[in-house]
Amino acid sequence: MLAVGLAALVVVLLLLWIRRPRSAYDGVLVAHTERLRALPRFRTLARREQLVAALATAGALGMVAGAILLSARPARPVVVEPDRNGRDIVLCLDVSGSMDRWNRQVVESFRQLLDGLNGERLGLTIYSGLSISVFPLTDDYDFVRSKLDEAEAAFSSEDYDYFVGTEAVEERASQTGDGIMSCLQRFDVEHDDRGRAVVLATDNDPLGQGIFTVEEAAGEARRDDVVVYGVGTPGMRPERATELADATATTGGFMSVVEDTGGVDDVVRGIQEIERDRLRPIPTGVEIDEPAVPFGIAVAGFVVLLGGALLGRRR
Amino acid sequence: MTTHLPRIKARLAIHSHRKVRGLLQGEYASTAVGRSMDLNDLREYVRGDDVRDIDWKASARGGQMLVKRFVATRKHTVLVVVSTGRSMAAVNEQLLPKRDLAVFVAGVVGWLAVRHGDLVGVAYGDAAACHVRPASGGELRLERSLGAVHDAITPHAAPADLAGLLEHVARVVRRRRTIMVVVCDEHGLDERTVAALGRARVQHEVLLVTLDDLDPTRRPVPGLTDVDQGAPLPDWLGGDARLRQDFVEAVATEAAGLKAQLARLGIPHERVADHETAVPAVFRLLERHRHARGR
Repeated sequence: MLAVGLAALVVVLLLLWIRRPRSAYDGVLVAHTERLRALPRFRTLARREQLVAALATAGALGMVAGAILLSARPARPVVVEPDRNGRDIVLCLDVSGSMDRWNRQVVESFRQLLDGLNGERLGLTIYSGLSISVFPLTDDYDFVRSKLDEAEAAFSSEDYDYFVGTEAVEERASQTGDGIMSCLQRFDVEHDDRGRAVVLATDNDPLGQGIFTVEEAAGEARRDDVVVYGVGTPGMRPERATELADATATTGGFMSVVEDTGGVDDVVRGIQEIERDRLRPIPTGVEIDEPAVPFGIAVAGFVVLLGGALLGRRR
Repeated sequence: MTTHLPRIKARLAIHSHRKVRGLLQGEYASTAVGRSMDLNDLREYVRGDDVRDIDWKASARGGQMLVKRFVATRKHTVLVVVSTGRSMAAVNEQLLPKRDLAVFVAGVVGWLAVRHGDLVGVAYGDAAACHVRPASGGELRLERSLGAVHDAITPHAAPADLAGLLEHVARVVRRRRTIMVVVCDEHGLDERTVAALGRARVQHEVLLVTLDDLDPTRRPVPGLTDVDQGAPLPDWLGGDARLRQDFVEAVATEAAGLKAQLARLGIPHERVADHETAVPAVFRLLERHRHARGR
């Protein structure tokens, strides 16, 4: 409506301007110019001037057209799948003595998964009475690989030095609630749009009194939008397994118990799959700006206008 | 508004104190021998002469009958014909308004005639209308005629039509053998104009004064406007040397053609560029006219 009104206004003004009374007799009057106009040289020059003026006009029009097109912000609709690997996974391993074998398998399967990762960040935290961040969340896969190798070696050889930091002074070990809480702290706050998951490998057999219970830690995880996946061991006590399963269910995750025959690999793979599905983004149509063509038109118009002006000035 | 003649008189007064003083005395020649107070010469009496013209004393001295001959005091009629088309509203090469120059030339001729005691008629017109103000001897009348000519020249007037004006004069002015001073700004004469001038030449003593036009290629005058189209002239006219040269050549060719045409017609012609040269030009014209008569 506004555009139509403005266009009408412009047209009206143009008409008024064209039909304005010609009171051009105030300049220096010259008569008998037909003698000049009859000269071939005059015609040549006039044609040249017309050409230059036409060129400049075309250039100006091109510039205006380009500017108008550009102001319309032309876009091309494109269906994009957003980065679906924007995930943070913290491996949260209970390193009480009974877990070494399973931990080694968890670490090993994650190490094998590394090749398929792209964009995910991986972190490793081990806990027992206390928790240690072995490496923080990172997508430096070479570093991750070396650390996982290190961890795997430590689990294989039951290297006491590796776990010594998790030993509490008091009688306290395998504190799953505290472990989850400290793993939750490994997520950085700025990237809360990334999917967050904790892969918790534990037999949930705490010794002594921890600070947080598993339920409290699960509530905290849900509040932080962190999904906790439990990897249980075949030998864990049923009520402990239920507790862990309930806790993981509150966060939207689940717990699987590693069968003796199957191994951790399948479980981890399953977690990976489910995580991928959970975070699979809906392909959305977005519009990508395509300013190249109108910008090109505007620039070409400007160049032509400039050329016309220079050509006109050259005289 | 008696403004034209005083100005012209002032300029003429300046000139009369210069080299052309002598010319002012003589002005132009009588066309016939007739009766007047001015004795011309004596000749022998032939039968049929008026007895009153016999110079008795001279006859007594000479021993033969002598008769006085007088210069005719027949009043001349000077007809100033001004082509007042809109092209006259333009400026000339000196950036002077051609209107002023045309009025000035007409005024000089008219004033000389009035002072000489002759009758001055003024004819002016363009393609749309022609006017003839009948010959009379009055100074005031001349002033009014000049005013009329001045007012007739506007940029909004019709285009000039010298042939039409001359034809109109031929139709309207019954008087023959006037001294017709034509003021125009023609650069070349078409056949119709040549015919009209030829006819006028037969009936009158025709003297032609032309005014030139500004050469738009010569110097950069901002805001040049074509008086015929009412539109500004292109601003690139002054920038091209070849155009300038071509135009100068074209103008020169035209001028030569006009000169040849007028020579063929036997019409004395002067080109007037400004007020200073206008007076000598008019005198030269009258001089040539006198010499032409003397032959």
